[in-house]
Amino acid sequence: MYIKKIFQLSEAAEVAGVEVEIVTTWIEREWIVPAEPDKRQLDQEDVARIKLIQHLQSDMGINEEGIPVILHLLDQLYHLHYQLKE
Amino acid sequence: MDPYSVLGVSKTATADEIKSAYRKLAKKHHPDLNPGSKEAEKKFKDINTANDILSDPALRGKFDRGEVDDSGNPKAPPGWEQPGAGRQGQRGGAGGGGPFYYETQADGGRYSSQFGGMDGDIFESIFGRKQRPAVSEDRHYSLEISFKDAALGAEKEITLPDGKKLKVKIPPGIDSGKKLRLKGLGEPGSGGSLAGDAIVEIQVQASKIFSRNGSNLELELPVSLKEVIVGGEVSVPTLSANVMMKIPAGSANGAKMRLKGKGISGGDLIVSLKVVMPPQVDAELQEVVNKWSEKHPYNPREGFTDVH
Repeated sequence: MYIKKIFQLSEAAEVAGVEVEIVTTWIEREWIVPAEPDKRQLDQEDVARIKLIQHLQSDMGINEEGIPVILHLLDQLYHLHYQLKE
Repeated sequence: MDPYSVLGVSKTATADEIKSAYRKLAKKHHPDLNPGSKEAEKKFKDINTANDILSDPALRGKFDRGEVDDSGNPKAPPGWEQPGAGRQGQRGGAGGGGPFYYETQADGGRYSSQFGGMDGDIFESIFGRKQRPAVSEDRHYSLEISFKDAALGAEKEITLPDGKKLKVKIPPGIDSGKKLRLKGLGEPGSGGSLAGDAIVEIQVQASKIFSRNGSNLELELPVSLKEVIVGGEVSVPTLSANVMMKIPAGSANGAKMRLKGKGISGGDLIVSLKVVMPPQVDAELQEVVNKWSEKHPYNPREGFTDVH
């Protein structure tokens, strides 16, 4: 587990190299569910996920329909990995 | 490594060709799509470094003219040390730094653990059947405990046949035949199967003085003639310390008295009086009783004859 580091929304966007407005859209679409939704505070998981979405969109040309499908499948895959490791 | 060969494009490739080659390779080698693969991580880094150079026309020009090396760093004049780290493949991508997403989920992250409550379903959907880990056999034991430990609860240590010692917590008020299940202390697990449970069946030893009726305890208290006739205060054993109990004058043999809260888990202790005759009924006693009876005759069997 990573040490819980908390990022403000703007900080997280900057670290991930994505515009704040874009991150906000992703939060609205629930692709990102901030660690502290009401306070708009994100953690390392959120930041890494923002980067992943950015990769999927700009580097791999996945369109908006495909992103949530991939995220869902990846999360299931990671969960399964974790389960098997246990 | 030569960025053109990393991306598998020719020196004359157009920006579109480079972009498409990069995308194709990124999809294949992205660490999040190959969680845990160090090879994919390294390849992805190389691909990104190559793309960083070739997707930037100015940098690509410098590389083509031999002004920067294949990491995108300016080439040092002969005799100069290479400058330090310089441009590295952007670990974690876009903004650089920080872990890859899969790394944040490796130990059960917030996002992936939302599938927590449904492991069965995931396994089922993938393997087509319920893939619950097998559970080894339970082992059965029997444990004899004292009446008092059963009533008040206790912690007992039992030694298993293999020499292992087990602490068993006995809840107050347990009855004979009750089984305690100790999770994971049965047959050990092997090859991914979970250990079975130890099942301990409780045998409660009978008490010499108490008997149990639900949460009430009952006892028969031997009392003397004097104690029932003129009354008195006697000491009564309970599960904990003895308590003093008043016997009213003129109590009948078999009369019941209730000691509140002295039973099991808040139940009562019911004391029945049992008159014990003196070891010897001598002439003196007979004389006294005779005299008294002549003055106070009574018929204890009044209405007792008409049994039909």
